[in-house]
Order: sequence, then C-alpha cells, then structure tokens
Amino acid sequence: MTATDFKSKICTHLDAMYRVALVLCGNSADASDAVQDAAIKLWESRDKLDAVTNTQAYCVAAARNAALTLIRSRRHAESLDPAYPLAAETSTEQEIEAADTARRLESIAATLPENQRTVLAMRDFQGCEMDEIEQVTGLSAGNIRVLLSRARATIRKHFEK
Amino acid sequence: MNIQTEYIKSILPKYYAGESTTDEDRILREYFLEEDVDPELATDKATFMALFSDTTAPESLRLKIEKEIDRRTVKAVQRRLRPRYGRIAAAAAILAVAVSASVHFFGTDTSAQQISPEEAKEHTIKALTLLTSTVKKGCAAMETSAQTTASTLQTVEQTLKTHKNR
Repeated sequence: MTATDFKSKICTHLDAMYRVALVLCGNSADASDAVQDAAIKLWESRDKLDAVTNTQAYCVAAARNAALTLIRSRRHAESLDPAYPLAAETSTEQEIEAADTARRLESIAATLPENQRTVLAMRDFQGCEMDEIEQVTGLSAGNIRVLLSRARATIRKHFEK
Repeated sequence: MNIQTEYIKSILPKYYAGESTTDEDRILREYFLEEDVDPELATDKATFMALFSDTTAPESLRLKIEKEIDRRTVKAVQRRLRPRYGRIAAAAAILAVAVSASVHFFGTDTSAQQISPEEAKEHTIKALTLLTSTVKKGCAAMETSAQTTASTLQTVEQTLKTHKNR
C-alpha cells in the first residue's frame, strides 16, 4: 500500500479515532498523542489493511488501544513522580471553532471516572457487545450497564437547559 | 407524533439505563445526527451531536500524521539504497588495494612470473566488469558503480605509471 493510499484511507476515520481517544483520555493533548501513535502503528502494519472489512472499526480499535496504553503510562509516571505535570492543551487560531466543540466533549469526558469513560468508548464508539466489554474490562454485565447509564446521564445533564 | 419519533422516545430510556442493544444504539445515533429531530428531543440531540458528530480531529494532528508517514517513507527508501553503495565502494577499494599491491610486489620480481602493465590493466578491467555486472538493479546503483569503477581504474592507471617510471 502506498503512502498516498494509506493517508486517504486512514484520514477518513481520523475524526472517529480522535473522539474515542478524547473520551478515554479526557484531554485533547493526550487524545492527539494517542491518535498519532495509533496511526503510526497502523502504518507499520499497513499490509494487513487490505484484508480488513470494516476499516473504521479497525482504526477506532487502534485508537482505543493507544489511548489505554497512554493512560496506563501516565498513571505509572504519576505514581513515580507526584509532581508529574498534566498534559497541556494546545490550540491554534485556525482550529478555534473545532477546538471549542472538542473542548466541550473534553470537559465533559474529564468529569467522568476512568471506568465510565472506558465502557462508554467501547460501547458507543466501537459498538462492542456486552460480552466483549466484559472480556476486556473484567467487569460483569451488570456493572457495565450501571457505568454506561451513569456516563450517558452525566453527559446529557451538561446539555439540559 | 410520527412512528419514528414514538419509537425513538421508547428506546431512549433504555439507552440512558445502559440497557439498549447495539442495534438500538445505532438507530438512535442515526436519528439524532439527522437535521429533522422532534424539538422535544433537543437535549438528546445535543448529547448525540457532541459525542458523534461535532467533535473533529484538529487539522494540526492530521498534518502531523501525514508528515510523519512521509518521513518514514523517505527513510525506508534511503535504508534500502545505503547498503548497496557501501558494498560496492568496499569491494572496489579492496580490489584497488589488491591490484596495486600485486603490481608492486610482482613488478619488482625478475622471475618468469612477471606480467606486463598492459596485462595487469586487462585483468583489472575484467574483474571490475564482473563486479558491475552483478549490480544491475536500479539506475542509481549502476551510476554509483560506474563512478566507483572509473575512480578505481584511475587508481590502477596511476599505480601502473609509477611502476613504469622505475
């Protein structure tokens, strides 16, 4: 697969990848890092992409895995150094409108506990069935439903007038 | 209230209770990402829009990823060509040293094994032709090989001239 083919294939799904990473990480800087890591990993295994039937699901899964890896490494760094700084937000003038919208989701996601973010990302962004979420998280179906319910209700509350 | 809105309103509580199926989740998503939504469901529309539509990846991220892919593509090409140049140059250098050394040592020997400068040159050209014929892949490799061959021939010529002048 050429670089041009790869870029056109992956960039189509960049928004979906970014959204799942944003919900999981809770901030745009980490979400961007996670998406970039995911894109590089996808490039390195680009020969497999032609055989993938649902490219969006494949890319979103890669973004989710990269985000979870990043969260774990940040958590480890914080446990080693309590003064570890949080990732700084970055924005440019051209991205202000998109950044405002992204910040809204970001600020909402940041209020959610990590387990709610994980379950929400897997269910709403990846369309995972309950048994898959159970397998990955180790939580019971009952717990997953409760976490989903709380996450969705919290997000809705932000938009109530 | 139309049937579709009625159906949406019936599955929304299931969604917020975490009890909807993946198909129902998909139906809700498709409904709320459309323009025409019942005004009573404005809050739910804003919720779904924030989660699934309004948020886009920053343009700077897109550009960064494209730049990184381009950088890795160039690096991979450079890595493929580098070993060829190294091997060709190393082989030519070894050959030049071997020819110069044999001309020096055999040239001072007055025994029957003495070879003429023209014969030495002929042997060198044959060896270098064999070397170049094995690296036919790629115009760049051929060009480098020809350049290396030319410079090696120059070295041999100089060595032979030095031998003649003794």
